[in-house]
Amino acid sequence: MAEELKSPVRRILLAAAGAALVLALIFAPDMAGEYRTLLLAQALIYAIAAISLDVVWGYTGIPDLGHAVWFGTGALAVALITGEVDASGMIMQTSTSPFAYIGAAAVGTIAAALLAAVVGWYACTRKASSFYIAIVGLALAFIAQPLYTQFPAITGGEQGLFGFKYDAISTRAWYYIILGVTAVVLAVSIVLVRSDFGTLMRAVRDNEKRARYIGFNVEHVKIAVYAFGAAISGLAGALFGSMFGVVSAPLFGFLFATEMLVWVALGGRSTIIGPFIGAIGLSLVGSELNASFPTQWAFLVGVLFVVVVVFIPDGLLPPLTAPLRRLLLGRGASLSAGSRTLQVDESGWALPTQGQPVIAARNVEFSYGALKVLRGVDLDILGGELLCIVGPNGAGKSTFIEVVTDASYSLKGEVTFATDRDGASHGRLEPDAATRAGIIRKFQIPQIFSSLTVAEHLLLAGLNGRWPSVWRRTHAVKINKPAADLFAATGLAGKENVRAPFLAHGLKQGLDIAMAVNGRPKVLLLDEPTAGLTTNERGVVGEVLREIAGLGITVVLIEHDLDFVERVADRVAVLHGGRVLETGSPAQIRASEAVKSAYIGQAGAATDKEPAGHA
Amino acid sequence: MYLFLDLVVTISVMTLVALGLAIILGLMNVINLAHAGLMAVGVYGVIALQREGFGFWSAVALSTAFSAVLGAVMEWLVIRRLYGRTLDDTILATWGLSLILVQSVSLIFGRSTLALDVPVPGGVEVLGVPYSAYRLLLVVFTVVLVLAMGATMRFTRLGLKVRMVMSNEPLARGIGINTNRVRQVTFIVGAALSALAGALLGPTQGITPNYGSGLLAPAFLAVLMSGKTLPGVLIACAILGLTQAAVTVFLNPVIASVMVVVVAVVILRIKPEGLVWQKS
Repeated sequence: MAEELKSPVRRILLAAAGAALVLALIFAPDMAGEYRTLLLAQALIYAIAAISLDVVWGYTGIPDLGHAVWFGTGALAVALITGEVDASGMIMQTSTSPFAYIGAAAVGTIAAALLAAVVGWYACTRKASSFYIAIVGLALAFIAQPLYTQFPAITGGEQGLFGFKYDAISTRAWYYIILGVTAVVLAVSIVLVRSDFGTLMRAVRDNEKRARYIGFNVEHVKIAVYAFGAAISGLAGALFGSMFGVVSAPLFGFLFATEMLVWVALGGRSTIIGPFIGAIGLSLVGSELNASFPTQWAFLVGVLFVVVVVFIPDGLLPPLTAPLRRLLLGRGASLSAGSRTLQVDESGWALPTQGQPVIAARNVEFSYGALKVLRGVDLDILGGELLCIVGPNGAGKSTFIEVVTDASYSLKGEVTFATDRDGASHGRLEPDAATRAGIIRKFQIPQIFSSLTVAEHLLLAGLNGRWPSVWRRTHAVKINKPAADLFAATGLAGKENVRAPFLAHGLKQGLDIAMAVNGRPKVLLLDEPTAGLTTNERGVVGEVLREIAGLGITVVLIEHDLDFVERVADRVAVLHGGRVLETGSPAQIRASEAVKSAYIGQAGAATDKEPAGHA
Repeated sequence: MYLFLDLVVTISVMTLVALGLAIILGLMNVINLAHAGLMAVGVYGVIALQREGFGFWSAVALSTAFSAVLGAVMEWLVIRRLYGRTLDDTILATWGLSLILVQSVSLIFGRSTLALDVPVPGGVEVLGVPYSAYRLLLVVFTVVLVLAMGATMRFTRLGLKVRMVMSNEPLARGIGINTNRVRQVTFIVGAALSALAGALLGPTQGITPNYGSGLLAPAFLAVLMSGKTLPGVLIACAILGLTQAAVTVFLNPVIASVMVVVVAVVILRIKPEGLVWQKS
């Protein structure tokens, strides 16, 4: 209620502040002189670059330390297309056609995007750490500057290229062109980060691994965002080149790149508006001070870096707007983000034939270095059954699930999946591809996205790896029947718009399982889904899992609680010492002498006689 | 022969510059871009002290000691607040520190290029060719420093504590090691080493406030390639030094510095964990 009543007030206040800013920007050329108008135009160009960096770094978590390189690329493209460079690196003649400049800006934008796509494709691999792209960006910024000076016939060398600006229109007209482009970039970026794709971007930033396991090709998402950010930065550079007619090595350099990072960090990462204001403010102050006190200004920039990163890591905007928001909305308002509802989708999905093996593991052996974990696992997992894998700690249960569902591990033996209805089979897949094929996992410790609401988790999981819209924002999130049942049974109802970190542990487990189920699994692999739950919650989860298996979905559980196993399992496989010791109904397993001694340790002694690491 | 000696000197210089970065990254997981600023402080400290009438070596010692104090202040004010933060945060904050140091140096000494007299002038004959004595002395210095560092890590109580903190920090704290103190000492030693490298390299080149920046990139990449071990630093510097020396001969020094970065980036993609692994 409070939110409904007060949010118009907030909207009016925000709209008033926004309108004041817009009016100030529109009438600025009338109030400021020619020189100040130029400075303001430059500040807007920097703001475009800052916004694009916020999309890449703030929202998607890709530390682009080479963002200046794309800016420089855009400016250089304009110089080369509109001007004729002589052998000594001087611009001899410039084009007079406005279309040459528009075309040049387009080429600069595309060139920057392509360059970034190549760099991103090289730097974003599963094997490399997610920080590698920062190193590559840093390296690019480090080498771009010396490299630039090496080709004076193209780039103008040390002095750079100058005198290629489009001067057929007044400074005032230029200012409005740039203001218009800035407005468009701002609007596009806001729509993007508020869209479902924006939600995916934050998911990748918050928890890359989980994003992969709900079916998204994380590398492709990152490369796309990286290239998009570079395109916008390239566009900003092209505007800079066209308006000022200057391009030189420092536009590509690390110092400029770090300045961009500070605009974003100062304004407030992942706010879009913050970096926009941060860039305008800092570059205006900077150009005033830089003219008279260059050294002192650089000193201040250094102080600013340190102070922002160390003491106000969220930037200036959130601390400034948070009290306002608290005042208007009351405490705790920041916990909910937007209002999404869930809509139950009753339709089912194609499932493999019941009772036939959907996953067949033959003599699977796997080692972590010298430690041999799996010593020849033979196991058939049948369509539609609820199979519990039990065994002492260190038996290889989690490892078995891990290596079977991720083709990047190399193992001996053979694993075949027959999850398609027509019985066509395939080998192991990478985690995201496995999820898209309907083989969906949930980890032992709940894996959530720290900035996403419950509904947003289900939205992304429900897409099963398909890319969401880059402009639409889904309000009614589709959720399938079993996921909805799980949702209700675990007590998540009514918490759709709560951010996941604020959930209690049991609810996080419930959400995590619901996510896996909402991806329309054919095979659901759950690693101790009841860990840390109360007896009551366990009962609820058990019932829902039975229900899911009842729909014909194959469920594989890793479990320690044998009473729970006895209640839910169709079949039990006992893993011990890296082998399947026995399979059978819960009653058979309970009666088995071999299993008893395995848990007590006698059968273990038998396998332990084998020399460890003898492969 | 000259080529060989140049190569040895290039590798030594790179190692000398990388050492300070290496111990700070290896132990604290902080990429210390303030390194460039500290190198400038080290060399300008020597210039200032020489103007006051100090000899070169005593100036180097005093300048290094001053940087150690500066390192303590930096650690106290900024670095200790960065533990556990993401690498991009530490890069930004330490780069800010570097700007502050470099600009302070510019404010005091101006931006024009200065020079230091070579303290050991002339050449000596090595392997049949005459070669700059000071450059060879730099090689000796590097070898001594590396050996001293290795020995400290392996044989002293401090080294043992450092290795414990490196391999399992919470456990080290749990058994009563003051891990914050260990980190503090590490940063101070690292800062002193950066300044020492800056001071020692002073006589070999023109000195501007930005003088550390050019050496920062290869050293930084070498440290990332090293897998956080001392032998790793040596191997990485050898590879990058070889690249630098070879490309300089065949093309030019600027292309060589570009190639060094490219080679490092490619190696880091193939071996993200670095060239030498910690034995677990």
